[in-house]
Amino acid sequence: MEDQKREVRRELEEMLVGLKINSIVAVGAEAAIVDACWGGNRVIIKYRYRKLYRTKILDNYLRSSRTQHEAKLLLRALSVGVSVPPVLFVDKNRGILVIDYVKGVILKDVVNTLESSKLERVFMSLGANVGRLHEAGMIHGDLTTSNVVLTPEERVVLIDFGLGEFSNELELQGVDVHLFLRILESTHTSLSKILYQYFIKGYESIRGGKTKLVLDKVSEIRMRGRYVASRRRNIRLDLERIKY
Amino acid sequence: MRLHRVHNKKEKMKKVVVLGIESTAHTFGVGIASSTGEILANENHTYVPKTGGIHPREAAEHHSKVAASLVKSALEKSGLKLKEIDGVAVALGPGMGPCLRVGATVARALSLASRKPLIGVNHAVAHLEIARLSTGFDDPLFIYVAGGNTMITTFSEGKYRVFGETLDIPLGNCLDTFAREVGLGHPGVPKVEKLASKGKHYHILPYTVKGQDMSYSGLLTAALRLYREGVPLEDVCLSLVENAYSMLTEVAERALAHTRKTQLVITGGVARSRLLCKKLELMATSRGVNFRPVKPEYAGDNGAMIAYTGALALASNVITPLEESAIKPLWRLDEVEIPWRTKKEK
Repeated sequence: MEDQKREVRRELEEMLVGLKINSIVAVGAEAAIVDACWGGNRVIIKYRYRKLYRTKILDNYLRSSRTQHEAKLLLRALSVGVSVPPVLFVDKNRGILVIDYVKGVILKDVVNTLESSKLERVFMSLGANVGRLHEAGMIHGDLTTSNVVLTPEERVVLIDFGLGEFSNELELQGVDVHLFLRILESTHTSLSKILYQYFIKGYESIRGGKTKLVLDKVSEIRMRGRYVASRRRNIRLDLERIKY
Repeated sequence: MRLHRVHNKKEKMKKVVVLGIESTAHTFGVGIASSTGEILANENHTYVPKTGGIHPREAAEHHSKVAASLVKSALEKSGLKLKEIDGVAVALGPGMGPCLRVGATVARALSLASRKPLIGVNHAVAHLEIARLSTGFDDPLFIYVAGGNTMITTFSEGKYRVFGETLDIPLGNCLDTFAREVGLGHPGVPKVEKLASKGKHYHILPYTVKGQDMSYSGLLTAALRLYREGVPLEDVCLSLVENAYSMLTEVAERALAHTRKTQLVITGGVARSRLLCKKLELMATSRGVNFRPVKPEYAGDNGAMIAYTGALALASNVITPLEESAIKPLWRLDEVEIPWRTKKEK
C-alpha cells in the first residue's frame, strides 16, 4: 500500500506542474483521494490511477469515461444550484479530477454532537439539495452521511459522485432515498426517524407532490429486499403458480 | 471462570471423523475428513451432459447410479469402516432439487444404518471452509466463483456476510453459456480461456459494476453479438474474460478497502483459472494483501469439503435431526450460524 501511495504521489507531481501534496487521504478501489495545494489553491484531487490488472485499452476507457462522467455530473449539479464543490480541472485521459477543497467536517462524524435545531436545519438543507439533484435529472448513487461535508458556515456540500447517473427514473430516485434511510438506520440508529423526517421535509420543499411517488417507491424497494424472508415465500408461490 | 475455559478448550479440541456427501449440481462426491483437517478420502464423479447445460433430472440419475460405489471406495481409501465414523454430513443446499434429493436420501440411509448423527451442511460454507483449510489463511476475504455462484464474502459476527454478488447470472454460468452458444461445449471456462490466450485484439464490451455488485448478463449478450458480427472467436474470448475477470477483481478490491482484510482467497470451480488468479494477485500485491487460491483438487464441488465442514459442525455439537433434514435449494450463505469460528473469536 505504501508503494502504491508513493507511486500516486510521483505520478501526480510529474503530471501537474507546481503541485504540492499535503497528504494522500485514501486509496480506494477506484481512485486515490489527495489533499494538495496547486496554483495557490487548496484542492482535492480524485486520481483514477492505472490499474495493472486491467488491459490498457479497457483501463484507459474506464478511467477516462468515469472521470468525465463525474465531472459532468458535478458541473450540472452546480449549475442547478446543488451544493457541490466546484470543478477546477479535468484531464480525463489521465483520470484526473481536481475540485475545490471544502473546509469543514464529514457529517457522519458530527451528527451526535449537533444540537437539535441545528440538526433540523442541516438535514432539511441536505434533503433540499437531493431534491434539486433529482428534480434536475441526476442521481447521486452513494448517498450517505460520509459523503456530506458540513462547513463552518453550516452549509452542507455533497461530495463523491463516482457512482452517480443522469436519470429521471423514479426507481433510481427511490434507491437514492432508500440507501440514505438505510445508512441513517445503521449508523445513526437512535436519531434515524427524526433525521429522516427533516430530510424528507427539505426534499418535499423542492419536489412537492412528487415526494409521495418517491416515498411509495422507497417502501416498494424495501419490501423487495433480497434478504427479506417474506420475499422468498413469494418466490415459492410464484414457482407453484407456474407449475400448475 | 477459569475452570470453565479449560473445559471449553478441551471441547474445542474434540476430534471427530465425518463422511460427507456432495450432490448439489453436476458432481456426486463422497469425502471423509476429520475436524482437525485431515482429508482421508475424496471420491468424486461428475456428470457431463451430451448436449446443452446440466439437466437436473439427468444429473440426478447419474448421481443415483454412482452413489453406492463412491461411498464404498471412499471408505476403502480411508481405511475406515462405516461404524468407525462419527457422523454423516450432506449438502442440503443451495442447489438443484432433484440432485440434492439423491445426496440427502443416501445420507439419511447411511445415518440410520450406522446410527450416527446426520449433519446438514451449506454447500457455500463448505467451499469457504475448505479454502481456509487448504490455504492456511485464518480470516480472509473470500471470492467464491463457480457455475452457480459469484460472491464476495467474509466472516463477521457469527456468520459469513455477503459484501457483493452478481445481480443476475454467475460468472461461471456466463462463460459456460457463451462456450455452449458458440459450440465449444461444456465445461466452458477452460476452453474460453484457452482461446482467449490466442486473442490479439481487445474489443470494448459492457463492464457493469454497481458499487459492490456486478452484472454479467449484458456482457454475455454483447459478447455473443460480437461473435455473430464476425469478430474472430479468439478476440471475443479475450475481450469476454478480460471484462468478466476485471469486474470481479474491482469488486474484490472494493471489499478489501472496506473490510481492511489482509488475506484474500479464491474458492469454487473458477478458482482453477490461472488468468483470474493472476489478476487477483496483481491487485492484492498492489494493496499489500496476501493472495492464495484454494488447491485445485478442492476448487470444484467435492465430497471432502462437505465432510470437513460437517466435522467442524459436529465438533461444535451441530447436528440435524432426521425430520429436519429436508433439502434447501435456496439456502443462503448468510443464514448459517458458524459456531466453530464464533468460539475462536471470543
